[in-house]
Amino acid sequence: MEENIKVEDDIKVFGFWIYLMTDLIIFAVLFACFIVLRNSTFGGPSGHELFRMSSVLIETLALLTSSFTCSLAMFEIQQKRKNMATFWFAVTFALGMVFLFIEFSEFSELMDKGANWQRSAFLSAFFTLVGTHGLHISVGLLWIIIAIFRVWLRPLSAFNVCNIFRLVLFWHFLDLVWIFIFTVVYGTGHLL
Amino acid sequence: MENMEKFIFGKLTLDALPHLWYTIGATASILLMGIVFAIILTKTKLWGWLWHEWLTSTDPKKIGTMYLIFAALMFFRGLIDAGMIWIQQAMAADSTGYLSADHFQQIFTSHGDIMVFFVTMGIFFGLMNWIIPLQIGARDLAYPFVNSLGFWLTVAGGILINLFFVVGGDFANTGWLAPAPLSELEFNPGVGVDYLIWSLQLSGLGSLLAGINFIVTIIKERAPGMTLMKMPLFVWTSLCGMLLIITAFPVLTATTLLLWLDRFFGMHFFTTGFGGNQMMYFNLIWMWGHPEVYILVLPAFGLYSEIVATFSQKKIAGYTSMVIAALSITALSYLVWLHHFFTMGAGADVNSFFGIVTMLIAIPSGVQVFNWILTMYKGKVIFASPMYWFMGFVATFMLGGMTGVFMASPPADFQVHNSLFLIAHFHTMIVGVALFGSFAGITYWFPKIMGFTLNERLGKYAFWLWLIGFFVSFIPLYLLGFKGATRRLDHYAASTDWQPLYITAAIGFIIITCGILMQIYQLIVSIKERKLHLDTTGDPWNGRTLEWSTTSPPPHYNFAVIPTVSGRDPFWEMKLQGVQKGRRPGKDYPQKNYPEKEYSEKEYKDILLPKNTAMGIYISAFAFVFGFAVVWHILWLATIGLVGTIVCVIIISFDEHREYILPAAEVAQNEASIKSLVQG
Amino acid sequence: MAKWQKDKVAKTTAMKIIRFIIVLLVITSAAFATFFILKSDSTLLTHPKGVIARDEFHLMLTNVFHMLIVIVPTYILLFVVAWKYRAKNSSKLDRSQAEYDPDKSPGIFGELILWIIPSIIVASMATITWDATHDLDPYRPLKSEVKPLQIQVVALNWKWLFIYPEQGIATVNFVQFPERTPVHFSLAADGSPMNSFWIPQLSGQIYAMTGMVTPLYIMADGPGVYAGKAAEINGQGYADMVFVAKSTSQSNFDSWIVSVKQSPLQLTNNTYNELLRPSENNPTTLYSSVEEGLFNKVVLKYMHPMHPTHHMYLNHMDSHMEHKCAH
Repeated sequence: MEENIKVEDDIKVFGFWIYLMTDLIIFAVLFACFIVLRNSTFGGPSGHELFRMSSVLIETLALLTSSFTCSLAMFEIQQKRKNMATFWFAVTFALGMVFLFIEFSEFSELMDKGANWQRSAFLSAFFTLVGTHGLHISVGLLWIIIAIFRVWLRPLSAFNVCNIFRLVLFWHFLDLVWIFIFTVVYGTGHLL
Repeated sequence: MENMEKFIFGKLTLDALPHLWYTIGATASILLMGIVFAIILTKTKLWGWLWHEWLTSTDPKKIGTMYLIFAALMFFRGLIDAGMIWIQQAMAADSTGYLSADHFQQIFTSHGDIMVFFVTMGIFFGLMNWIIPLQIGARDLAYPFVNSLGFWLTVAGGILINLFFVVGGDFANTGWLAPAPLSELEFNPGVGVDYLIWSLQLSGLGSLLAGINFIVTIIKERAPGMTLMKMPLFVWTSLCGMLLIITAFPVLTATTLLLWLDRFFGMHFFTTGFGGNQMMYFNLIWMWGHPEVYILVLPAFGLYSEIVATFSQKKIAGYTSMVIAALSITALSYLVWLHHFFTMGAGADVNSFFGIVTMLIAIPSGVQVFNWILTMYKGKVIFASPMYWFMGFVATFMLGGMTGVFMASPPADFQVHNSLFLIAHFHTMIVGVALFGSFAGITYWFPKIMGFTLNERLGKYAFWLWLIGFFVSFIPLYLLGFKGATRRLDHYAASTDWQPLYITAAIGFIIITCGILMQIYQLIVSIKERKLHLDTTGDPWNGRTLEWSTTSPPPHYNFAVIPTVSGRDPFWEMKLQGVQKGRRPGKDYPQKNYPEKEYSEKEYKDILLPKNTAMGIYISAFAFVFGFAVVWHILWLATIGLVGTIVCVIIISFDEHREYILPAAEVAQNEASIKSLVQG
Repeated sequence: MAKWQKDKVAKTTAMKIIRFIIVLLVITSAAFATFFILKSDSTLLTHPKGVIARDEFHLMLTNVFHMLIVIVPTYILLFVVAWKYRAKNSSKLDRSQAEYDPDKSPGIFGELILWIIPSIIVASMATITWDATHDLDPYRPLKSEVKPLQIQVVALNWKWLFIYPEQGIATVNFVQFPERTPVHFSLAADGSPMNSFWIPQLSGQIYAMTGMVTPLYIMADGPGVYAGKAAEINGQGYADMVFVAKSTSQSNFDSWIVSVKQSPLQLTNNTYNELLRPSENNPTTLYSSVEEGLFNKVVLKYMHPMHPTHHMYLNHMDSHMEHKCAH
């Protein structure tokens, strides 16, 4: 009876899109702060002294791949293949963990160097922008765990599929924000 | 031992508990009220009724009523603050008055925050909850649970902003926007600013959820036939206001959160040293702050359009213009934030750009005023009390527009900025537009909400007291601005000649208070006499829009059969079709009490309605605990609050059965009983 | 009509007339009171004593007149229309029944006029605003033959420190300058949040902030004593953070400088740090000497940790300021 669940038409998905827009505005504020404060190092280290592009590239790769595997999971859910969906969600989760782990070790490395968020306005803005994204990723990971439970415990009804679809939207959204962070924070930070 | 204490209580110590006469007084009265309320509920055995029928309800009508009651409670807090400010300033020529500078500053800060976030926004959310589903022919909002959650988050914020009375500590003494770096740890080491931040976080989240909810409702849930350009203007301007909410409130959330990061983690966004940028705070907070002003006034604009059309018994003049005006005000409000700090020393090009954009807002505002007047032209204007509020509004609105031009022009603004002229200006706008608007709206829709009209005579008395009181209190403030009185002064030299004007303003406050007492008296008398003013038809004012087509108060499903809309004034047209036969041109127009359309039993269908849920209360309670714990740096409690919130959200996300079906037979039965009640 | 009915009608009419007269009296007396308050000398904004304040006041008047062109007719129209088309009127006079037209709308042409009228006024005000904002830009030096007097202002918690770099003196909560001479204030703050520097009778206000310099030019018409204030809330001592500005003849000013030079107090690093401590309600204080480069040090310490290269920033900043002034 639920052959074609058109999640895109669901009213909750529409509302979730609006929510994502509001979240994007929060990120926009953080980006604006970062750009304004980028040179306010107050004698502390600047971006290109601190960032190591190799680890950032791995992070990016992990997140981009996870976005792809997340789509695969959604595809499998549409096909009603619970096992495959779980598998792809597990892969997404693992990649997300890789991302978080690298980010966390980068942060602790900076802290070891004395480049903590109390050092300068630039570092405050950096930790806040990247950290807020990391926090969103953590929420996304929690949601993925719940989605895996949902796939196993609940029927793939419109209600549940719609919930999972919103997770996928959320994950893609975080991917998009990361691309901006990569460009604005690391890309130009490395060049300038 | 000391560490242990610090771990358990954070920054909370015995010293923080209330020990000043007014905090003790407030604590005692709050506790006393709570106890009396609890005793009454227990005696009458109404706890269950309160919980099941009201607190856990997801019916927008009940949530709307709760918003209105909540806003009224907060209004008294804000009003007491206002009175304390005025009395202090009337006394404090060459003396320190009865309040210290710090207390005085806390009082005007909380006055501003409470009046803006909880009173004005609360009233409009209440009215929108009631009226928007009815006007667009919907049964409820798009997300009934989110609506309940949004309300309870607002309440959590409201409790947090008042909590320092009971738990202690201070409130922020920085002014309502907590401008950095004054609100930074360097200048404000207490918990006051944290109270402000977390109160705004919680209520801001509530507003954001409500904003998303209303947008989706308005866009997706309209009755068949109601295209966007057939929506009532109240729905249009509310939609504009909600668009502003979803774009502006995230900025508030982010900005106050950055301020909190500065205060909690020692970051340097807005600090004076370490590269922090205090001007950025001003930019960010006003990027939210200016749209916020329009969030307050736009719904009022639409509401006035409804009222002036209904009481002129004529369709609104220039509907398309009104929509364009509302939309252009919405768009322009994003481009004017810098006019709040021309004095910061941006270049002349930047200042004049923002000054000119600010002046552009006068164009759509003027168009609205002209169209309201043209609506009355060739109408048959009934001066019921909502019309009184409307006339009072136009008079004050134009005064506010004129004084606004002082501030829009940067060089002139250098002279009146931060003076009492500014205070008088924005009170003219917010009281004159938003508050008068909410009184007009409450009077207008009261019969729909309660089933009987308010006493007209007392309502008009209240209006006159308010209007006169308003002018007596705020005209002196304009003059004080010219005399060079800056805002937020806890005392001043007698040689400035300011005191007589401050005293006049305080007299105005007393008149306003009389107006409020009159409104309370009006409410009591109206409830006592309700049998005389029963609204049996559902259409007491000869209305035009769909909310009047259902009974007063409406059944919980709003409409037994969802109406099909063909024009801009759907109910007026329904009535017009009724008088079509034998109609004399220019003579016969619908009268009120026109018999309603009758539905046969076959037309009733099963109705899907939202179930009650207490989850909104639980989530908000945990969020409140989190907010409180973060204010006082009690980390274990914050963890409980956070985990509790997350667990509750997860639980509700698995709840598939949030709706129930009301069978068609029951609808038919209900409709029949309403009919017999009205006829009998 | 019975006699008592006639009496009642006459009574209510009389009541209405009396009520109308009372309202009229109240409004006129309020208007008169407003007028006299605006005229009284203690109303600072309507009694400008300097070129900038006067121009700003005239700009206000221009804007008000522009607005009145629209607002007065609108007020009249509002009450006339409301009165004429009131429902009671249409039931009393049968002829007005015909005038009731519930579908009446201004039409596209009418709507356009509604948009055009305020647009013209706003366009006119916009041009005035553009010019005035550039003319009265605080960055813009005043036209005068006399060389401007430099005064550096530091907002401290909760007092104003004035440094005269050319004269080598400093004052607290008191500033004196010669009449008809442009005064160039350079505003900054130290240990204090955002502040606003305002001498209403001489010019509008400008913010004084840590780590940056904002300029303000004023010129007094003649000798006089003016109230100066802090207009932006900055904590406990906000209300008492006032100062006196005095303009005198050039010779009086010169002799005042000489007298200050006799003061036993000197503004050294130590006394400055003393001054930096928050204090309320500070008396006028005069310092006969100031430590060299104090103002720049105050500004720079928020921009960069103390570092030998900061002079580079300083030069850069000065040239930047000059650059701005040149335009």
